Amino acid sequence: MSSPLVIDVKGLGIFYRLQQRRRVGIKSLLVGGGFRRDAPLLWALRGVTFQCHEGQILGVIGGNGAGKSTLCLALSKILMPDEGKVKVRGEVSTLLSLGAGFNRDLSGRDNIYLNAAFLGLPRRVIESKMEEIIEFSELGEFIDQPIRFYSSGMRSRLGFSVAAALDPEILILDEVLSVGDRAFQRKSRKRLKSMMDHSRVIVLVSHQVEFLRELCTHCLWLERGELRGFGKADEVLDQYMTASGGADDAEPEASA
Amino acid sequence: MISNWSNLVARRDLVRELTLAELRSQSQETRLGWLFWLVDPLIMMLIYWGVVVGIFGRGEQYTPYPVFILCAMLPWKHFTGSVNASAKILRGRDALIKAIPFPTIVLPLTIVLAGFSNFLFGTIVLLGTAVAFDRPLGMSLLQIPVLMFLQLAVVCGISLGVACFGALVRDLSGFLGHLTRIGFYLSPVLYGVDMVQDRFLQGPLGKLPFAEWIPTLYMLNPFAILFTGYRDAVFYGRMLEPYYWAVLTVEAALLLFGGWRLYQYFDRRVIKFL
Repeated sequence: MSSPLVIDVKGLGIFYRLQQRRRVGIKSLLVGGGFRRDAPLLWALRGVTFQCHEGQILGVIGGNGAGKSTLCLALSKILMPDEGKVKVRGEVSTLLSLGAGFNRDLSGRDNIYLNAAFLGLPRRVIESKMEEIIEFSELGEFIDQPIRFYSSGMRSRLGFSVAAALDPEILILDEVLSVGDRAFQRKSRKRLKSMMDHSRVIVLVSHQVEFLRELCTHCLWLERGELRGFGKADEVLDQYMTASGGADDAEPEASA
Repeated sequence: MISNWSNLVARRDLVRELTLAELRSQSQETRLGWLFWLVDPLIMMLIYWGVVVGIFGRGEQYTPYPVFILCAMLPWKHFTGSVNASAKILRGRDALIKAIPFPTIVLPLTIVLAGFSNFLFGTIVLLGTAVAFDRPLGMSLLQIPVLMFLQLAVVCGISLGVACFGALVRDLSGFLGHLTRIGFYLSPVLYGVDMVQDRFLQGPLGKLPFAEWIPTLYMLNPFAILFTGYRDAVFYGRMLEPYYWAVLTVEAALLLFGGWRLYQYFDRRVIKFL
């Protein structure tokens, strides 16, 4: 493998303290229960090691609670590893959920600026792409209405349209591909593919085996936070299919 | 993305957009729009004026009382507004924090900055009221920008700390209302610091043990100094004592540094609690 190393993950482990995920109140803090060191740990990921080189499209597959989302959080530097190391060379763009930074009281147009700022797009870039974004979102005159009047479909269309203006080096996607109606889905898939052509590395999380088989060069299979397989997409996906009973897994649920 | 200085500088666009968005959504929610930022302090001032002077018949030594109360009420409102919002901000924006990598410190910071812009509108009301009541406005006004800067540091520092604890301790925001209420009465908002000095140095309270220390301790409260500073600048038209400048500067620096370090410590750890 001569192409440069972009993602280097070594022995990655991330845990959640079960106690912490429940309520921590002042009382339990005073009594000392809230931060108890012996609170049971839940390892969302443990001992995960893999490398990703330039030009690869990495699919991540696994059941619910397998640690796929946590892996995305770690790769995008939202969560710091509790064990091991995550090295990512290049600028990471994350599409874990659409329109998370929206302000309900502002117009679609103002929200484009706001969301773009969260994604790290400079204002002048957004200004030059504004018309393109509005056109892509198919919102028309609604763009100057506060988005609390939008339907959820309109909102995610707007979210996707802003994200589509990104020009990422490393792109991390977590099942955000099914946006809007069929026509918009087709359009957004097309846009994603062209984004992928420009990216150095793509990490794609999905439940849909056929979708991953079609797009990915490599695959990573997680189960209960542990790495079950990593390698060429076809091989790993075949293993996964065999292990999961070969059923046509059309689980529509989003990962945790 | 960790909340360090270089990431914050790199994402200054985000700080600006988020502050503007906050202000825009405030002004678009109300019929008066940004005019509300002028009307709001006026109404509050009228209420306290009516209650303290009109009903209780107090504050004659602080005439004109509207100028006197605005000097303290405006910075106090900046503080309580920022702290209350900061306590909830990380929990409130958890979906965002877990979806997009950005230095989360911008969230409490923009709250403080948006509140500060409201405060700036309030100072227009303050200066207008001072002119209306014929206050001796002169060179002493030059202290205001420095006081504002120190106020920003104090409010930032405390808000950053509160933002961390608000994320860790869910019930904090419930208690915060009471804590700030206690702070309100312990700080010279409705009365002047001279009253504290009088009570503990001469009055019946002067017989308490260590009574002579109480005014000094009282003046360690950065807000006591801030309010005194604004009153010296606008109400009395004199300079704040150098001792108070020194204490306030040290406290502002310590609070800002402490809040900043605390936030950096909890920065990524806090996400697992959300």
